Amino acid sequence: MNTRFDPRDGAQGLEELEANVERWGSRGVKLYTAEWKGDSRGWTLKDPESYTYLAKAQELGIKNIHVHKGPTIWPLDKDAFDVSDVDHAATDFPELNFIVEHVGLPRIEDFCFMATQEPNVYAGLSVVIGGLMHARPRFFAKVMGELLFWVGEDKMTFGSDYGIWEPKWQIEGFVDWDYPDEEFSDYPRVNTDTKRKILGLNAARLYDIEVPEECRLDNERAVPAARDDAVLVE
Amino acid sequence: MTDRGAVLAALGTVRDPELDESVTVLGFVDSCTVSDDGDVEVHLRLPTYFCAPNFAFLMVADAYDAVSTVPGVRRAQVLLDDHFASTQINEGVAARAGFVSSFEGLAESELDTLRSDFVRKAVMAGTDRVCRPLVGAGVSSDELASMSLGDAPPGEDRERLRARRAELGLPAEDDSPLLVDVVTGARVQPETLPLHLRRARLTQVNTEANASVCRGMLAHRYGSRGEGQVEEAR
Repeated sequence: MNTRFDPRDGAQGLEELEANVERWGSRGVKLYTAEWKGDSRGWTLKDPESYTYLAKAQELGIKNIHVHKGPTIWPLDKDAFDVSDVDHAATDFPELNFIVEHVGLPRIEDFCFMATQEPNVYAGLSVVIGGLMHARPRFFAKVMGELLFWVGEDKMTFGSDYGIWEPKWQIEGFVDWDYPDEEFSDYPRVNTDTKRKILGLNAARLYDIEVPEECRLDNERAVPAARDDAVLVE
Repeated sequence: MTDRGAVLAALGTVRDPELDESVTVLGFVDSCTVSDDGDVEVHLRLPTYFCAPNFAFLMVADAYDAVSTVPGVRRAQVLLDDHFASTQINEGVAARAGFVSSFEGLAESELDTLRSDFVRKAVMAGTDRVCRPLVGAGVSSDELASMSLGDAPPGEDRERLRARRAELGLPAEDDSPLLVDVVTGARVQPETLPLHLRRARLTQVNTEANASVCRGMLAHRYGSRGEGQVEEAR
């Protein structure tokens, strides 16, 4: 479903990208801007080479750009979790969606301020759910509340981190999740539809996956879920 | 003879620029020895081997400055232990070399902007700590917009906010506005005030979360209390 690229790979990398998309039918890429390579200690989405790759990806039918934003070391004098490059690229490539994995932790405030201004920037919840929901429930509630307020439930996507832990307990935990107490009462509410969107419907929309009838939002089903709902439908 | 308590108090004024908390409170001071002749040796420690070197440099340099000015100190040595950049940082600070020349070729600018960016965040977070209880007590946006700093309940949070504002050259007198733009220092107007407070809360949530993660990692890494460490409020 997703492939990768590294703009430091030059013309050969572009050919490789094309071959990957052709072979796998990829609709997205996962990018690690902080990856070291030879003398380079990382790159940013606003580098000219990145723009060449993003343009190529778009031409090949790629829709979704997943960017890993986490700890980096280079350059030493900059704040290492900078998401401003996403801001630039998202503005210049309005047809592409940018999913910021791990929501720029530990700089969620910078991420949130940026995401509110860019309609095509999404919050990828990988590590957020797995790492925080059980270990730091009150912090998790605040982070979810902030993301729901700034980014919104239509632009948040579940990520399982299947490389480090299994998804089942995360999904089950999140399905049952709600704010712990009234301290969180001024954050947006969560309901079943919120969770449906975050756990799958938003991703299905990004990847044009048809959603089975029983998994759709209550108001998007052909047959109302319950008689009470039917009364409300004009 | 130099008073060790005075040296520790001086270290207590040094802050982690990102967490806006004293390095002693956070447990970053591993040891502090003072000889009869006034030679001070301080060992600092951080939550990870790869904590951002720019922040680490600021803390070591600030600790050096703070300790050096304590009356009776003849020679100060501040050493960061167990960090990938310990050598460059310790030697750079000892030689008063500045950040760029301590990391030749790896950094292009000194850290003043980084520091002031984070003091601005500290002002936002502090604004949340001072104003959220007021909002909770029913103070309206219009009332908040017309309040002065001196109208806020006296206490640690207010004085801390005042000190950070003063550091940035923002208005910090009792008759200064309670809510100011963190760049221009202008009074926040009633129509933008709710968003300002939302941003303030997001910044506070992020800072609180990072502090909690950093404390957790430090405890896991060392399992011992630092000089003057204060446990996290639950």
